[in-house]
Amino acid sequence: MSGVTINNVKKAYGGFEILHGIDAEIQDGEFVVLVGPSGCGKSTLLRMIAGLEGVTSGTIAIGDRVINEVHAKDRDIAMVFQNYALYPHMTVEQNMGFSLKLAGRKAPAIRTSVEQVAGFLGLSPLLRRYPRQLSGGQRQRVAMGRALVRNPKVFLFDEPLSNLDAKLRVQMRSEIKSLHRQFPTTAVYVTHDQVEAMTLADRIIVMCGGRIEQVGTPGELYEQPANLFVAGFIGSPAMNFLPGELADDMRSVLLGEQRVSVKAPGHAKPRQRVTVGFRPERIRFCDSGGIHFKVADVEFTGANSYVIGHIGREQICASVNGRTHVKAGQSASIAIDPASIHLFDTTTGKALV
Amino acid sequence: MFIIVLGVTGYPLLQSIWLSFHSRPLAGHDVQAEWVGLANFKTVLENAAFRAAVARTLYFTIVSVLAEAMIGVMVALLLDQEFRGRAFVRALLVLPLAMPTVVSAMMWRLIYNPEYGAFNALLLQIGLIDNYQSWLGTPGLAMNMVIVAEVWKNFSIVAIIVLAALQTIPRELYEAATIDSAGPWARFRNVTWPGILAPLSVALVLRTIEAFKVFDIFYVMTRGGPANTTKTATFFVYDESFAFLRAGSAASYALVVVAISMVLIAIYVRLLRRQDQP
Repeated sequence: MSGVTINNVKKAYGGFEILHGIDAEIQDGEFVVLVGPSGCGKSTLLRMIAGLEGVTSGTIAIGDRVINEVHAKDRDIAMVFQNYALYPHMTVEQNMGFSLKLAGRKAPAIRTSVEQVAGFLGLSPLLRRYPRQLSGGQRQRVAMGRALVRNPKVFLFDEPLSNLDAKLRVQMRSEIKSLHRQFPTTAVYVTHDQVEAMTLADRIIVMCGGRIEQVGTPGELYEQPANLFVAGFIGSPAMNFLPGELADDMRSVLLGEQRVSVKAPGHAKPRQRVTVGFRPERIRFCDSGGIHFKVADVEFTGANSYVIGHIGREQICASVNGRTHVKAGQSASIAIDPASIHLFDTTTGKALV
Repeated sequence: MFIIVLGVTGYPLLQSIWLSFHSRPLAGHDVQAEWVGLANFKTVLENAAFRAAVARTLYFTIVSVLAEAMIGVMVALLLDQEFRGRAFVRALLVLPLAMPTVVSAMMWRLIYNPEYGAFNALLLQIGLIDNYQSWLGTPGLAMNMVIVAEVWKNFSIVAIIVLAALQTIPRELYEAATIDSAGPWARFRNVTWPGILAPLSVALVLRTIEAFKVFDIFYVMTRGGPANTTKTATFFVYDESFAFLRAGSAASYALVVVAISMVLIAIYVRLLRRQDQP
């Protein structure tokens, strides 16, 4: 087992740079999720670690060994693909044992390893089947089994759950998590789904436009987003943003006509343009004296209700537990705890902390 | 519809079967068919020249289909790579197919011409031969030279089918194999080959059936010569009927050729059915 060290890695296709110097340190045994919108370069980075894409500049190391020039087959990694990539003409058993067979292991030894992993994943009754005879979830499991059998230094996952239906996705997510608890091998997992990232990761690397926006535990990203992008990307429903201006006393922000208490850091300037962020689940409805909130719609989802409305011209979403007495069309008053308000510099997008 | 099909294919077939049990000259005064029973088939099976023709046809079929398979697969693999002008080269592939066999056979006859053929000129200029050869006039050589022409004409159908199959193989499979430590050969063996095997086998069986019925290319290039060394089974039927004017026994020869073709078709059908199963 070993960690992965990514040092100022860039990737360009014919002069067009899509990764602009990525630095990341993935600890031995850590489960790190690369998350970001489509085209942010997360999959490319994963494929560079896998050896399926070349590194334009910078270095990638697994353990102490720089692997830029090491062929994919010699990197001792295993990868789970989005479309499973099972060999269609091979049985489940042959699929799982393929890498061992190529490595020159003897048939009885391969069988033992495959049966052990299959038993663990509940695949034992399916070993003689072909991929086309399996359901999506079973195929996904075989793909993971194929990776597990190799006992690699690093596991790589490329959006492995995106082809499953919602229910199965939640189930496989927790299975991956418990698998990692039992085989604490370094894992790098790519997804565009921030819920998947939050639930699986020891640490999350948020990427956008070929750059790292923030690295941290799910808690850190949620509590202390470093910038507007991360604040808006992590959490569902997304964080609300309002344009505002720091008051002279530095203790409040002017949102148009209304004044909201905040805690501004010492280096902020009075009258500075700021973006005020607050999470839908941190909004409380109060009887009076709060911020004026015009309710446009109420969405009841079962466990929660989302109240969508406007403060001034800006659309805001509030999340409350269970049902709410608030009705569409009414005017309400909301309060936000100053401690849960995030301030961002409007020009740079960086958090003011 | 049924009646049309029956009229177009059924009547000639039944007529052939009827003929095969009779002795009947194709032309002449007072042509009367005379019942001879199985005598025609006896002649066919006892005829060493016909057996030799069948053996020759099998040689032609096996060698040309194998060569088409190998060249076809290799060309398809090349054309599956990215390179400049790939679309143009892929379009070129259709050229031999688009050409009528008679035309391509004529072309190859010119190329092989013993006095002014391009093939002789080429080999002489690069120093492989000292004198012009009569490629189609030398027994033993002529058959193989016709096979070259046949392969040129037909390898592209194999290449086109395999190329189409190659494009259906997901790229992820190659990547998974790479990560499973498969080298180029192992990737070909475990990803490419299983991916093209089914369409390739269908193409080859169809080519085999076609090749066994070969007639036109030999008719144009060699007329069965020299010394009958390129006289194939169908050519034999043709000679029996239109050179020796023996319609009865020609029909029996034809039916034997049909029987052999049917064995090939049975293999083809079985292969198709096996592909339907998991």
